[in-house]
Amino acid sequence: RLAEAIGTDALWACTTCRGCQEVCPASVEHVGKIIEMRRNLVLMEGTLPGNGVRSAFAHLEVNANPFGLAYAERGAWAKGVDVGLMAGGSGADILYFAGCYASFDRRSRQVARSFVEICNAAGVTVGILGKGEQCCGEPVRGLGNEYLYQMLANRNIENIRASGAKRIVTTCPHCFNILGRDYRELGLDIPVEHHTTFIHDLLRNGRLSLEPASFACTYHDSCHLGRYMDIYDAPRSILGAAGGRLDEMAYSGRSSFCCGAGGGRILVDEAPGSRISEKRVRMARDTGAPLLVSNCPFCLTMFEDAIKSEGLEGELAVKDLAEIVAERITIKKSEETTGS
Amino acid sequence: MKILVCIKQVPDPDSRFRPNAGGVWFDEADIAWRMNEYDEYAVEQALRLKEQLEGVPEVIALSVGPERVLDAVRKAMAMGCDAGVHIHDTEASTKEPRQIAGFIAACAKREEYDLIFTGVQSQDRGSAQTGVLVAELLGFPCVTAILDFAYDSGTITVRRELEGGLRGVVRLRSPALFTCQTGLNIPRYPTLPNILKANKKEIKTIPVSDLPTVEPLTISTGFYPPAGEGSAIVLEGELSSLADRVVEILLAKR
Repeated sequence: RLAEAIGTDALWACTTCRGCQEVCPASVEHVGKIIEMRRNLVLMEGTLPGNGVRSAFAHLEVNANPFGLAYAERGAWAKGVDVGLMAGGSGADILYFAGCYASFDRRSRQVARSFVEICNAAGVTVGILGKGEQCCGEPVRGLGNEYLYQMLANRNIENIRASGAKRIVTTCPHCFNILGRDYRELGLDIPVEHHTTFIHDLLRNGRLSLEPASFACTYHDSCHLGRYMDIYDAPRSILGAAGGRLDEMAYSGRSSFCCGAGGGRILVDEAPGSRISEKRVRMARDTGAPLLVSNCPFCLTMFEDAIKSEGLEGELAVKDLAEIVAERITIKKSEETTGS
Repeated sequence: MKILVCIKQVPDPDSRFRPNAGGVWFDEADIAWRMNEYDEYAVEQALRLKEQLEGVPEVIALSVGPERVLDAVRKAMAMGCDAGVHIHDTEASTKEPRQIAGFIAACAKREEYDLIFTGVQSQDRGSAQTGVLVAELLGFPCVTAILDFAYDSGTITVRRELEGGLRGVVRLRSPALFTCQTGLNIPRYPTLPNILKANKKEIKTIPVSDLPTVEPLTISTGFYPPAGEGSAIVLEGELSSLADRVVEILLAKR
């Protein structure tokens, strides 16, 4: 059998980073084939890569998030924050698709709040789906569970449509990819943006201005924003506007080195061998910069953990681009209030 | 051979529980539902026995409750059960195990099951009685909290959980009923072909009014969170600072 000949360990180890496809001179599409083989293992045989994924799938079926936290609490992060619940075309400028991590994970909630702060300063009204939002399904699809992915996606599309949203912004490159590209096959045709290009536009259009405070940093191009979506310059331009002096890591830009969490692997129990995330934070440490900037909740999570396990606390910290921008906002009052 | 698996749809334990309007059970708004975890082991064990006997036995999944429990029945069928039975009772959550067991036994009597599997208890009421009462009503021997199950030409050997980590070994012949405990097996993940087949399999619906009434011996008079006795502090944060705070708290209490 093909999966056995290749080795299921190898099949499950893939993070779908597309580093292979980036360099392949023969344009072989490795990632698609790996996912197809995963689909066979999951859908036809019910074979999963360990108990972490088994519980994550069960949680996703019951509560639409991999943590097993109550689905009805998904909008709880927004208490006291200036966002509205979008129901039946409430008319907010953007629908913020927060995603599972920004909604439920303590560290990533800080990114969600920073993003909303930025929108408020720019006069952009923000709506969320709250408990109507389900996991986007990207890690699920990446692991080969096409059935569960479609279930989650279809429910999201239904709720997004009912919200009357005209424009979606997300702080997660995985949500960004799947909503902006894969959901089209299922009928969603609303524009979807990632917060990096969204913030970049706000700065360019003068709706947001920053008080630059100089800092040294290095920047991690996440696989799903970089190789998948060709977004490299906008985040760097934002860092410049914020006062950042950027020291690039080895393997940056198109050849960026994965954090290890893609392809659904954030849900999987540890793989054999050394940790990808630790390799990457060592590259960050080697630049000498005290701050590593990320654009993805998975990267943020992996790097927070790797900084601790590598004993780099105090030497290296990691922050999302939104947090850096939010720290430097000067309140912008525009003469005319225009809708977006 | 006919095998019955009794399953219950329960609220996900992480849901927020508020008393319902009557103040006697929880409000169903915002509750996420799932198959009772212990019943998953029951379904899995029945399916493993079916596989051991080359697919010959018919495995039926049965649940008592309102319309929504059909999701749990379909899940059992997606795992591989051959058919489903839904005892339609919109008031099932107000009933005690004796009543539920009465309904199940009334249905089971008509069918001549060889084996019945249930979960050891439900994740909401946690009475741990329904399986045992069904066995009693049917005149079946019953073994509770099984951790191991072996079938050999009609003789069944099970290991059951006792206190202090001990295990009891019981040997018996069918017909019999078993309640299943954590550790018995790891339930299979439904495959897509089985999920699709499940949508075509038959679920027989029996209105509870068609079954003999069972009067309750107990009724629920209240449902409320316990009054805060002491205070619980949940410490959050980084491991290094957490350890320091625990030490601080312990020293303060000395």
